[in-house]
Amino acid sequence: MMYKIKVLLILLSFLTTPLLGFAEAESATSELEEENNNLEKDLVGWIEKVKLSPSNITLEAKLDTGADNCSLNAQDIKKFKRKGQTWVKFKIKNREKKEKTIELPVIKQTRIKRVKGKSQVRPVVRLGLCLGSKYSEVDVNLADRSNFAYPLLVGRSFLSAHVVLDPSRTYTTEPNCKSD
Amino acid sequence: MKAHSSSSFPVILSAFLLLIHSSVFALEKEEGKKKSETTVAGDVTIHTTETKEKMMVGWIEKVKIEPENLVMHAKLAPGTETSSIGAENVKSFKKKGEKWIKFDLVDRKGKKQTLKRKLIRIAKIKRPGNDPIERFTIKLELCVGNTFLEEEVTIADRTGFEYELLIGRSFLAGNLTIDPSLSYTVKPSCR
Repeated sequence: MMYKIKVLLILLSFLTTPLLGFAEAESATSELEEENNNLEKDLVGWIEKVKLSPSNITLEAKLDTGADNCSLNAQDIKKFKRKGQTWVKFKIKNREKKEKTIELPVIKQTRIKRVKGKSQVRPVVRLGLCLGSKYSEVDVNLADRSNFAYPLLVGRSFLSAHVVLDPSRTYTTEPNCKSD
Repeated sequence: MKAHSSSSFPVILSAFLLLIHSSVFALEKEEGKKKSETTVAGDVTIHTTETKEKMMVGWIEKVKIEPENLVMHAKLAPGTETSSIGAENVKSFKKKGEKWIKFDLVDRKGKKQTLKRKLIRIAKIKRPGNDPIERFTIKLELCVGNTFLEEEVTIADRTGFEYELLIGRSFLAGNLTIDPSLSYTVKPSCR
């Protein structure tokens, strides 16, 4: 009798070993899934610092889930032709009064509906935006205006892929994207 | 005696192993359960270091205005402080010596309803080259998901805009977080 119990006990202890491995694996995969979900999007506030490429200038940006696209306040916007293509030269200034001049090809012209006043036609260029650890190239329309407080407006064209937004917070992160 | 002690060792070892295995197995299962709560907008809550749990919603949501039970589609606007609503036939009138505002709201289905609210404040907005306009602020009871608040809302002219209602930070902050890749994730369910 005792012998049978001993054998049963030994057998059980061996049989439960693979179960252990299974439980560990299951918890590991759900942990990975959780991490992947978190890795997909950062939680940010409604105002954040964003680094622009080209130029590497850091601007204060208003993140607006209500905006479809991104828009940048620039000064001295001048169109010119380069090898038959329309280009645009413009200046941007940040809060620290750092100024950069950028030259980029014009992708298209876009009509912006304004809450106050008439609709505007604005040139659209391609810029790289870095918010926290997230980087994307997006179409940005240029508004001829000086606003050193929040010169950049980041809309869903960037936000959808990268962040979830907490409207009660600001300045939660600094630009720290890996350079390719 | 010797034979007895040498045969009891594997039994003790097995019993010990069995105990360890079953307890670790139980622990992993418990941990796995906690971690596998998947993110489904509308049902999920983000646990922050603050005590208040915030519901995650999309960038557009259905909002119910009480007590009229009017459902409107609202754009969440974290870039704006105050909420605003597009209304028609906006008129002020006096009721028991107080100034009130009468206005029409049109829901998504085109149904029009007249609302009356006490005037909270008037903002006179100067427009260069145009006559100044008056912006009335009233209070509306709004329900987004299960968040219910009486909000100060500015009556605006939103003709030509797709969404009649804009929900600003005064409503959003501390109550909701926004996933800009999602829309219409919750139905108003405040009671």
